[in-house]
Amino acid sequence: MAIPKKPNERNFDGPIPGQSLTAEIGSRPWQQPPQFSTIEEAIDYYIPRLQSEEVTEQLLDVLEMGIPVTTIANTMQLASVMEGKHSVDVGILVLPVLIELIMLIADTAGIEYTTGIEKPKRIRNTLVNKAVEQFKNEEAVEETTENAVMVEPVENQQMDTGLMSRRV
Amino acid sequence: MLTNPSQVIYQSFKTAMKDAPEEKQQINASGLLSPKKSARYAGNDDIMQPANRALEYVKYIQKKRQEVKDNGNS
Repeated sequence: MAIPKKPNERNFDGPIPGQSLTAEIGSRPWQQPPQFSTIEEAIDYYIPRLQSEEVTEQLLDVLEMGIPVTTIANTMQLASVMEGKHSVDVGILVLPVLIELIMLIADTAGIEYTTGIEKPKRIRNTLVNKAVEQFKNEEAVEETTENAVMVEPVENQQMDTGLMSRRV
Repeated sequence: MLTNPSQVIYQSFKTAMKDAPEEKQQINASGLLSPKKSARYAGNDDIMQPANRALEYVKYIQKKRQEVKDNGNS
């Protein structure tokens, strides 16, 4: 049974420094020449995989759980690099294509997803920025109260029915 | 430490797409003195660079996504 670790406890199950150099050179898939050496070949490898029903279902499940598209795309290309499918360079170039492909699949399925590209709203911690932000908030509150005052109840309006009365 | 470069790369691609010059319509001149190579490819072999090829794929898929969105809205 695995003993649960405390947050600051060091993980002694991890590899020791230099352990990767103890394996024979060329024994790992990523130390071999990649299977696909161009972007076109790599894309041809990914598209049928992403289009398969099984993968699509899993992909949509993961997206619905709120995992960002960028994370999924990066995991996919990294796994392929580790399997020796393509080099890191090709993986980096394929990344945007993968992101777009995943978003296309999600759009086609009509699900909501997080891209991971949206910039979080960040306020710089200076006094001026804080003051500007506060001013904007106060302005927004004032506008909403003004709009609420401007609306008059319909009951007070007198409906003129004469021939010369204004048309509404 | 940057562990997921996707965001940076995607933004770079987006910037590259914005900065890319618009494609001009080619005029097919058939005269004897007309240039043999099209203006687009003459002295501009960047189009065959891997990054630009990837950019073309991204553009194509984005167009398809837009079509899907438009069909969904109508």
